[in-house]
Amino acid sequence: MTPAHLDHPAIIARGLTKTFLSGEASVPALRGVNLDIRRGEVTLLRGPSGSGKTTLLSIFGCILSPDGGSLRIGKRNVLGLAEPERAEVRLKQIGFIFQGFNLFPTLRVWENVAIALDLRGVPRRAAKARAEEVLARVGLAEKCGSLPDQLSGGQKQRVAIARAVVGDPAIILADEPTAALDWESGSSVMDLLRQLAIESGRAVVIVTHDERATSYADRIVTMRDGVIASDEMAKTSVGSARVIEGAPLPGPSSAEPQGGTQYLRLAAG
Amino acid sequence: MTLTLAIRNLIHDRVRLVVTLTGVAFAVVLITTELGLFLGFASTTSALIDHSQADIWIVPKGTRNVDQTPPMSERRRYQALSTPGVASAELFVTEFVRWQKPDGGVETVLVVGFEPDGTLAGPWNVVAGNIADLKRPSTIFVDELYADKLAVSALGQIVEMHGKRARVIGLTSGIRSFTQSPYVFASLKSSRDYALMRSDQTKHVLVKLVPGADVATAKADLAARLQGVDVYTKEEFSNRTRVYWMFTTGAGLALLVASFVGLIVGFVVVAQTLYATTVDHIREFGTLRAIGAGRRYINSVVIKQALISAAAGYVIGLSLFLFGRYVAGSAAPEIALPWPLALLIAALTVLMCVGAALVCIRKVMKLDPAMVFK
Repeated sequence: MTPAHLDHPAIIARGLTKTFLSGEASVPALRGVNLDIRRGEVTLLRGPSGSGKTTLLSIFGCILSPDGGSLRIGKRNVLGLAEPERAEVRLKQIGFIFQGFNLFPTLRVWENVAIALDLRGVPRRAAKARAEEVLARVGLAEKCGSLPDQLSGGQKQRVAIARAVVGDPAIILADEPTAALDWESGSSVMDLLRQLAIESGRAVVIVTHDERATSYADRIVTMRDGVIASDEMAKTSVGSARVIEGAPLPGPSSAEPQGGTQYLRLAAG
Repeated sequence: MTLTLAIRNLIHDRVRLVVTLTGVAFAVVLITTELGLFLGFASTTSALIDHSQADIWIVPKGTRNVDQTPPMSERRRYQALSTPGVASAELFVTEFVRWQKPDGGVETVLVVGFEPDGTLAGPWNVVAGNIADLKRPSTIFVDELYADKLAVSALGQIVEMHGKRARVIGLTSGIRSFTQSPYVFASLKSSRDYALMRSDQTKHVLVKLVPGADVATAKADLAARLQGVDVYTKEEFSNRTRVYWMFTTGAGLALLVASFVGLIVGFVVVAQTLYATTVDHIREFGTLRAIGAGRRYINSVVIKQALISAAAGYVIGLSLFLFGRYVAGSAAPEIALPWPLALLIAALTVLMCVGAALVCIRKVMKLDPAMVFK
């Protein structure tokens, strides 16, 4: 039995199309994409470069408008919204994680996280307390006062994850979150993302080329030439994330020396 | 947090911050100096009028300023005195005359003739001598600012104007002349001699009204009663003189243009450096937009950067200006800085910086938030 709020897809896309102009040539990036993104699941978007996965992620994030089709975020039809309304959807419903972390180099770690709350009008003191709480959950309690330059890549991505979730959005969109990280940091980040899906029933969508990420996915969507080539439940995943509570997760390939069983846990400090 | 972000963005690149503040401070110094000179010159041009106690000035028709006035009959005084509401009327003369220096050089001075027994005009800031002594024939006051220029080395010195001898018996302090022809104060009688005027002529008639008299009514009565003259209130004649010297001659326009140039230079420097700072942080602005920051939030960051630059640059610029004015002392032309001007320059500085910030905001708002995925 799943909670009622998990039954309704977080994102419903129907017939999404998008074409970019390159000089005088039209380059179709999406050619009628139908996809539901469910809550409590980690959905991996894969495919070769130019297959349309980042375009789809941008459209899901209300950063890019599709040329055609329909798109619902939660229960709201977001097609045709003006930029201020799309910004509001981004702010309230979506958390972003970027390949390059996109932290503010001049702000301290807690400020980097609290800024997402500041955008929502949360008072500074409350924002700081909440940011520190989330940073502690991602294992960075000791780094609250540091500047991003003083952190490792893995730590920076954890800060980015903290920023993405601090406002408690229903959807997390991650673009190549492990691309700039070593294996261990990448695993840790994927752990966290999976945990986000399980704990709070969030929909987590990850665009990645990283094969190891499949170990953490509930569902793998493969794109090719702007269409969905395949959409399948991950074989290596222990069923749907929503039914896993504290159960051991299969780690990356056993061929990897650092591999082995990864456990769902709050990241250690 | 927008303030924190604005401050951190600015101090992140200290060299650029120094360039920004230098630009703002330079603009502030330039604008303050030029506008201060404008106001200083403007008040200098009408100083004779502004320091008079007259309510109304009667001048020959067509007179455009206090310095260059054709003569008229002194009968105007009696006509004025017979007008209802007039308490007293005094004669006043201004005339450019040649000043012969002891070493043979020549200067042009503006002889200012007034009635030493009167109360409506005369020198002010007297630092040596007694105004009543000007009743003695062929005696004058000069200003100590121009003592060197006129080769006056001591009180009692005999000088020559239009070939007529005069004794310097008093000094004033800080009475500048816009025309660079120093004021030389003398009695009405002496001034007529130096100006080669007839003893029944005057240049102006200064009128004092009885207490409580309506200036506009008295002015209208005088204008109706006296022919061939213009009648102005003190303020009107002061403004007329200022407008003449500041705009008809182009001197004021030059100062205003220089102020405007200062504003433009400041704008360009601030716009360039703020723009460069914004471009440096463009990815962060893109991230802000991507994670849901609205236009107001982004504007707030950029405008706060501009306001911080404006405030810091203004304080630095004004301090430099005041220091420069203090160092220059009395040798420099009068540069006025009344508090309304200081406020105006503060507003101009803010306007300049916020205007520059708008260029940056335009850049940020045209930003494609999808850049965060590139």
